[in-house]
Amino acid sequence: MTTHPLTHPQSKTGLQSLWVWIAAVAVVWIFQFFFVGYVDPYYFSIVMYSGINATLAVSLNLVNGFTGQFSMGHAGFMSVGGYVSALTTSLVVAKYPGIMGVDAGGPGIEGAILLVGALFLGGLVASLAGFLVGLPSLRLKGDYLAIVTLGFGEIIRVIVLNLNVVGGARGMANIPALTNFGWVFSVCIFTVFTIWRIVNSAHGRRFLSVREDEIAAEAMGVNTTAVKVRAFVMGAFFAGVAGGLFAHYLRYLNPQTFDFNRSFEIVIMVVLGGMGSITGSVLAALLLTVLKEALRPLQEITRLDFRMVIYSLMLIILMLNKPNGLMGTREISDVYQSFREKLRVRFGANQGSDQKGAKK
Amino acid sequence: MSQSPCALQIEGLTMQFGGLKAVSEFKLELPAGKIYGLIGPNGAGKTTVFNMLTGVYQPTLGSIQVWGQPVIGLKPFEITKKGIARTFQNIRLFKQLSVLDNVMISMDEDPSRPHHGLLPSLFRTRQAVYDEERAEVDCSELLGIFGLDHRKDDLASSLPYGDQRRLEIARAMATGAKLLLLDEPAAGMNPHETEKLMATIEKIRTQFGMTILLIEHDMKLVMGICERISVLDYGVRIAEGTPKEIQGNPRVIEAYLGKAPEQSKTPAATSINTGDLK
Ligand SMILES: Nc1ncnc2c1ncn2[C@@H]1O[C@H](COP(=O)(O)OP(=O)(O)OP(=O)(O)O)[C@@H](O)[C@H]1O
Ligand SMILES: [Mg+2]
Repeated sequence: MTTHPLTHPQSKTGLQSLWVWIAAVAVVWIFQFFFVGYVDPYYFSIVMYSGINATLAVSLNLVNGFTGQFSMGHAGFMSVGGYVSALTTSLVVAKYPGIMGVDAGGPGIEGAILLVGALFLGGLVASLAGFLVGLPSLRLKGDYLAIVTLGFGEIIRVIVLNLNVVGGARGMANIPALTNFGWVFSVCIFTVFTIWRIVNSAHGRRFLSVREDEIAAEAMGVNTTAVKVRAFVMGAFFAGVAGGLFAHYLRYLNPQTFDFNRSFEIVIMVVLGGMGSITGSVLAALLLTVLKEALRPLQEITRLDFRMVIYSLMLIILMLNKPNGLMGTREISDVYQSFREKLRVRFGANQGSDQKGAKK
Repeated sequence: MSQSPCALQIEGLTMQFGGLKAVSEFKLELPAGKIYGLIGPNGAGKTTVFNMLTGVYQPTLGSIQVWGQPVIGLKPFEITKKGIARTFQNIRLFKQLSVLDNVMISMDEDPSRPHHGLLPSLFRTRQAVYDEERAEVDCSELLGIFGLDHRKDDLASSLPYGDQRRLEIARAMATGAKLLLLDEPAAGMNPHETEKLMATIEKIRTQFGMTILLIEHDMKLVMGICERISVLDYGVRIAEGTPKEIQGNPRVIEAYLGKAPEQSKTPAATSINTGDLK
């Protein structure tokens, strides 16, 4: 073949390409240290749940949106990660109460290390569960897979219900308060970063090829079995970590927290945002979390759970008008680009025609 | 290795679907660098042969060697990595992905190209980014051969039908395989597109040393570019030889013409009919 014009990469590499993400994390921690104290606790909790839900939605999108395996068991993975990490920190704190830094006014660096370790452990065990659930995905497609994954979520719930070590039906209380704004959004950014980078690499194209046409993907040399299992394992890992953050924020878990309604919620976020759009998932997670809270007064007045009715109505309306979700498979950056393009065409007619002329 | 290695060696290949013997005792030797054809009436078992060669179906009996290596029992993706790739009779592109991505996906799997784990992709190491960009350049170049490079950012589904078939060939080539199985590459093309396709097939053979086995109903194409042709009828190989020999073979003519009259409406039958049978 001919020699290539490329001698150096055109795009940013290594640290050069990382600084945006690092800056984002830095901003999060600046907020944590200087501003979080001034936020109204109620609104603060909405912000926290938005961050956790965004992490869940983005990670489910890897499985449902990018790999095309319709999973409905995300709450199950969240549950596994939540309980495992909560149990870990509870045991450690019971043994070394000093970690919670009652004298120092809050958990210090040991608390941070403990949280990160517990989240990681929770994520790992969740991804092991993801591996087990991923196995049937090799034989099942579409609705059948959805049902199996839904069943998995219920199995986890029933198991936890009967596990006395985590409180069974009574639930698990007094989980150490280790989560803060900084951790929730660092994890959220890390999840978006990881999935964004993977999707835009050879690895991600493999996921996409499985979604598009499994037979063709396999014929082109893609190990579709490995790809599907990998999607489940990775999706479950992040769901497990999100579950851990959730546990250490709410400080109380019970099996009902992770029932299939929870799984539906996450699926709805992914579908609403657009299967295959990371920023769409984030947007939808924010939107639905806020909406859920906005609807709470209504629920209290009527004593009926209107939330699901409104969710469903929204979904029906959306699917009728925008069957591919808010963003389809596009990202915010694409939308921004095409918006600028439209503006240019409308207001910069001269420039536009110049370019057209040059092309021809 | 011998001087002219065999790209494909098939012996006694048989496929039984319940009571139906779709292919029986098929054999073929395809030397490197050649273009051979596989023809036969509808339902003769041609696609089934391709499906066995690529691991989609497990043959009931027989042996297959790709570039001297046995492939029976391997999974389709493993067989592709042995240097054989295919196109599909009913186009199977990655429709909602760009033309470039379609080709990139295959090139990513080329065993002779550099591969990177998750971490280098995550942190965009210099080498990973460089290799990715080089793959992009190579893919654009490959698309250029098929006249598709100017559409590389469009969705595959937005291409006209003929271009979709050409993209499938490009995608198969991007796997790095030197042996291509083309299942009716000219199906649905007009005569002009077919001619263009013939030129492209010749070009990839001479420029890239591809070995090609193709199924085709368009007799002009088959007779025009295939060096040898195998004819299947009801799963049985009824003839094998040069285009001249095949055109004059009474069993072949019978297979195509000696049936109920409605068979003559297939393009194959008409083109044999109008083409010189002597
Ligand atoms: N998976 C299968 N199960 C059962 N029968 C099958 C299967 N695949 C193919 N067949 C049968 O095997 C026979 C050969 O089919 P095949 O698709 O190989 O024909 P073909 O020569 O490619 O025909 P065409 O020119 O129409 O593409 C047909 O009778 C078909 O119905
Ligand atoms: Mg066929």
